[in-house]
Amino acid sequence: MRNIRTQLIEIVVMFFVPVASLAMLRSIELEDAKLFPNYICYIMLVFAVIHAFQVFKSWRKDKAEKGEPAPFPMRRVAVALGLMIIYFLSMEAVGFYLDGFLFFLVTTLVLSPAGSPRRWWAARPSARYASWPCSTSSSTPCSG
Amino acid sequence: MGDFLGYFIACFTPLKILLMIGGTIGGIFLGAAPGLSPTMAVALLVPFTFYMQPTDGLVLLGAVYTATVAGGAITAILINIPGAPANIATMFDGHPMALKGKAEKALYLAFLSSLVGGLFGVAVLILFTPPVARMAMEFGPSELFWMAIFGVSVIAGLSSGTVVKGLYGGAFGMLISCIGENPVYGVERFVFADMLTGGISIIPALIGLFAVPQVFTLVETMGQVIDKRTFKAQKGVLKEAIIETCRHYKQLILGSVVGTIIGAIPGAGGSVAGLIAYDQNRKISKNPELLGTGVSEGVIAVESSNNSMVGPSLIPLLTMGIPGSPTAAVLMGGLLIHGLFPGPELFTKYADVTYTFITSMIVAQFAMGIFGIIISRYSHLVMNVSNLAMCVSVTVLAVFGSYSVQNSMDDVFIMFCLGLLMYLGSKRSFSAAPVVLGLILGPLAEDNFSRGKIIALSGDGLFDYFCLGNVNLVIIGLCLLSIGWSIYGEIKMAGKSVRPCAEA
Repeated sequence: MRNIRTQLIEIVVMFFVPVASLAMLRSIELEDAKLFPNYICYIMLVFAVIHAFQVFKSWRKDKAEKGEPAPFPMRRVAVALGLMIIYFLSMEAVGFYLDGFLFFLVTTLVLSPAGSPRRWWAARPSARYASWPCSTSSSTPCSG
Repeated sequence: MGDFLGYFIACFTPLKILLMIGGTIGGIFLGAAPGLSPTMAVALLVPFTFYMQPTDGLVLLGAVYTATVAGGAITAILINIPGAPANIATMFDGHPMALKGKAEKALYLAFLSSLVGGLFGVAVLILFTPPVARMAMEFGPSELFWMAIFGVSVIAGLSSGTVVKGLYGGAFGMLISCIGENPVYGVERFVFADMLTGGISIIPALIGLFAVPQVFTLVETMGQVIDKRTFKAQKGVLKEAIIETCRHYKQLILGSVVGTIIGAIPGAGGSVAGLIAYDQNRKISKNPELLGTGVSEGVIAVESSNNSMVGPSLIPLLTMGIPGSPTAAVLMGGLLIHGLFPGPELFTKYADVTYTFITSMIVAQFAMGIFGIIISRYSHLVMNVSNLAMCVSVTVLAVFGSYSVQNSMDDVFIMFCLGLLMYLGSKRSFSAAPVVLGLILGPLAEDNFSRGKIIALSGDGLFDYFCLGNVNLVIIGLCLLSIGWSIYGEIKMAGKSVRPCAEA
């Protein structure tokens, strides 16, 4: 059931991209400027139709999905994604080098397995860094 | 010949030698790190070449490309995980050799045969590039348009999970190449955010599409326990490996020829070369029943083939601007950031840069062979690098690389968004290679389509101009053949997978 849902979402996205692009191209008045992307969108729609047909055909062949899908480490991936987003967003404020260093430390601390010696290895320099107030006032290339 | 020697000597400046050695060592390490592909390694390095002279930058990228393909053999042999797709067939005999306690010999054999195969491939590159470039000079807009379509269709068909998804990915790449201002008519297209006004820069897109999905894949596989084989270097093994390599000259020749032919076909790639060489070796081997049990000839045939495809894969790239493999597509990005547009002009206007780059590949092969053998002895250190350290380093490098091209945070966000999209796509069997090819070849296709349309409307008409003429018909035929071949392969595979179920 879960597989059918993801396949449906996939088909919807495959149709949505060219349809949305065609809608955006409608606002362009100069025909020649939108000719090439128009053709690309039509071709994408053709591929989306073929794919949808293939998927529906496969459903008819074997309706029951056998076996459990492999477990996906959702929590770990979500945490990594969150850390990356924080890293990108804070880069301009914190500065490239400092932000990269902090990202390295925090990621090592958060994503290392519990009890791993790597946690202590990462925690030591971060503790030293936090106890050194002068370093936090250093200016970095990105922060100007 | 005199010119060639001049370019060859030009490779021996201290800076170029340093770059080649650095690139080779780094490339072997990156190739040996499971989870990092050669394409991603080259993509991460491209921005670092931005501030170098074009020749120096290309020499570095060429050395890394060569070394990463060869370095992938280390993990294939020691932990039964291919470091690069090109090393899939290396596992068949390489890992059984390691299980028998012959890991050191297997690694030496891999690097020695990679050296021979690599030199053969570069020789073919040197010999065949100028005539193909001369032929490409005759191409007009319609032929170039179809060549671009062929480049996308062939990789789309061969490199993805399903043909339709590959072709859709190629078309999607072409569509996102249209973002920004049209250079001919000055009209903005698909600009739904300010950061997209200038279009999508190739380097951040390459990094995002290749590196970010791999970072998340590394996060997924973090903590998995891998059975690692280690060994202590022994005296006399190298000599034994050299003798064995010379003894299996038939496998060397077979692997080199197969790799060269497959490499010159756009889209086929090293994994195909390795598998075909392994299969062909089974036919010429005196003891085919021993293949797969850990015999030297299996490693020699595969490793000579996957490295001999490196040189020929650059022929369609340098002469016509059609990258022969995903890594060649990334190398194209390295050319473009220096204002060098692949095509016949590279061999006339920028001949010194092009020929120095090509001849440097010879030196890079020797560097790969020598440093590969040395690093093999310490390969356990390379493999002990954790997934966590790799994913953090790759993320920081990806951000640095994307930012440094235009000193713009917009590029970093574009890189990340494309990467995230590609990661989600990869979960549904979409591949990055067709998207990248579409992105790179999209402007070439559109530009030639626009120019061709102007010529066609003042003369033959659109259909006659684009769809008739010998060269056009041949390229259209090749496009249809590549798509048809991929569909045939997919149907055949589906049949194979259905049959056992039916029998069960």
